[in-house]
Amino acid sequence: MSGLSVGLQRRGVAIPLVHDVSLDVGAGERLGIVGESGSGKSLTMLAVMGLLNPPLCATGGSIVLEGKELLAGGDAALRRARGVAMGMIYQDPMTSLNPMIRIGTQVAEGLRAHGVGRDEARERSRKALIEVGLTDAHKVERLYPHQLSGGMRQRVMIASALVTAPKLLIADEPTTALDVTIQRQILRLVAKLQKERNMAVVWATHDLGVVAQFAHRVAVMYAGRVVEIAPTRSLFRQPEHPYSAALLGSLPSRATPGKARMNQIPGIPPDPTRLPVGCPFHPRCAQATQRCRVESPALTERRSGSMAACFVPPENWTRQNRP
Amino acid sequence: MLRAPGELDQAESPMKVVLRATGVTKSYRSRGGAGPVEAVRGVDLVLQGGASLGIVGESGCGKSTLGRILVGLEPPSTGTVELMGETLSRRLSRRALARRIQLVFQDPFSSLNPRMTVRRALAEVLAVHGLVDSRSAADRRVSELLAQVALGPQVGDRLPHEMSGGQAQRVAIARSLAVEPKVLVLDEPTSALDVSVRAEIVNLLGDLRERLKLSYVFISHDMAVIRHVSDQVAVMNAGSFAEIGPTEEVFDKPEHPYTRALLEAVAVPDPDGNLLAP
Repeated sequence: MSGLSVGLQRRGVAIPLVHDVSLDVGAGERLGIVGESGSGKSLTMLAVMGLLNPPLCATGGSIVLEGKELLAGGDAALRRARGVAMGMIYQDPMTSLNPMIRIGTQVAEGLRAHGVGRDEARERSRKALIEVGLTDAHKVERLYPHQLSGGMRQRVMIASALVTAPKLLIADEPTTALDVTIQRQILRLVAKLQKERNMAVVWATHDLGVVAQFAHRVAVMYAGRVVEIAPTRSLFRQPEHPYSAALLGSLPSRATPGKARMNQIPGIPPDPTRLPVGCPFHPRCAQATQRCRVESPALTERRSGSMAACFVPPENWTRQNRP
Repeated sequence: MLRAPGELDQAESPMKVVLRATGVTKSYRSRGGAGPVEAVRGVDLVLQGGASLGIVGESGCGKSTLGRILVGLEPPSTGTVELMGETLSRRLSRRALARRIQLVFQDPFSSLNPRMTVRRALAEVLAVHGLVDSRSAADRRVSELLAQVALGPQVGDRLPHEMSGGQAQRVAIARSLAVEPKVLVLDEPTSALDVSVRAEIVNLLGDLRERLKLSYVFISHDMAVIRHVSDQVAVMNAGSFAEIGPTEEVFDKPEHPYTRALLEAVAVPDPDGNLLAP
């Protein structure tokens, strides 16, 4: 994906929400995308899946999946290519599963839509349910979503995302609504399937703990931009962007335990319709210089192997989180 | 600090028990005659004045139901709750109860009236409890309350949708402080917030506890936050406390297998963690 921009069309003007985002993920790789609400991570995921609906639309850039351009036109052929090659799982399985349709039919739907016959679709969806750990698939496929627990529903979602054997799995906050013990099961399950199938996985979340343990590489998004992209270890050991550093510093486990104050990031994420001039993080940044107030930094390569969009290198940083 | 008991003003004593639950259970009738569902089973807890008790557990463990019972929103099926020495019962008026204990919810946007400005929402509480006798006194108190949660007086003119999640949660906290309660029950107060504002609310709650000598029951599924805010922590599972003890002890030397399983499942932000290990 390169130079992707997403905008909101309002009265003939496009309000930019995602700015010039370039990301790539290779087969067998797990890419984490971290960002707070409004950071543009969900919109980016939707754009990749071709699920942006008016007034939202991709306003520029390109998305290439295995050499095929996906953004040029939304015709049926491309839609078909996308549906087979990508699977997506969402945060809330209760709202993304149809409450009126039996599980088996829903899982098979992706296959039926791509021309697989009824019997084969049933066979393959049953296999997919077993693969995600719902071993009594014969029973589960006859049930409705409300008859399953949250963890089981999320497994059903994963089964329907994987039933077409996609090359790329996209997940948007898939474990946020789940308890930690269930979250762990789901993460392990996806990691296992990802390895077996040499699949690429993009995992968007706000949970730095999940990213630390699950992702090979991490992209940090802020105000519709990627501000840092780095191998997971580098990001956690040596963040190159002040926002990444501040996020890591605000975690309770990193702050002095006990009754000490937690490090907080001053201010609030900016309103996407009223972004500050220059670097969008500068009003909250302890490291901001005059240049940051007028000029927006681009992602540049760092010695650590990370890319970061910041004019001030970490060795010149003053106190880490507080201005 | 050692002082003869006689010198201690009882109301100000930091070790006074403000909230005590004894053998609290709550069961609901289930549909289809499958027998009652026991949401809370035999919970005992003691909250000292000025202390913070964390209650951690997974969804459905009964922690929110327990919170509602503690503030008197629901009566326990059996057992008693004593608030500052007085047993909660029907004889204790809703209003008198609310003056002493308040509940702060997870989602500030659904606990604030979307069509009421912040000033009106706060003034309403003051009026209901007869805490101010004039419009100007109400205005003064509202500004004071906003300042207490580090919001400027201009926020008073906003509607909930004109605020960020962190600001709205501050307003919800200010509203619960309007009656000058002694105890706050906080049910997942940071769970709906972004990472970068979570720290700010946790810090604010810490400051307020110290400044206003409040006691907290802090309910959350977030182990890291609970560890940070509680002196004592109770681990709740299937309606009862699996373990209760001083926070550091429970986290560092968990006694109960359920506590251990829960702690192991937490995704700690460490790339060398073994969350994915079999």
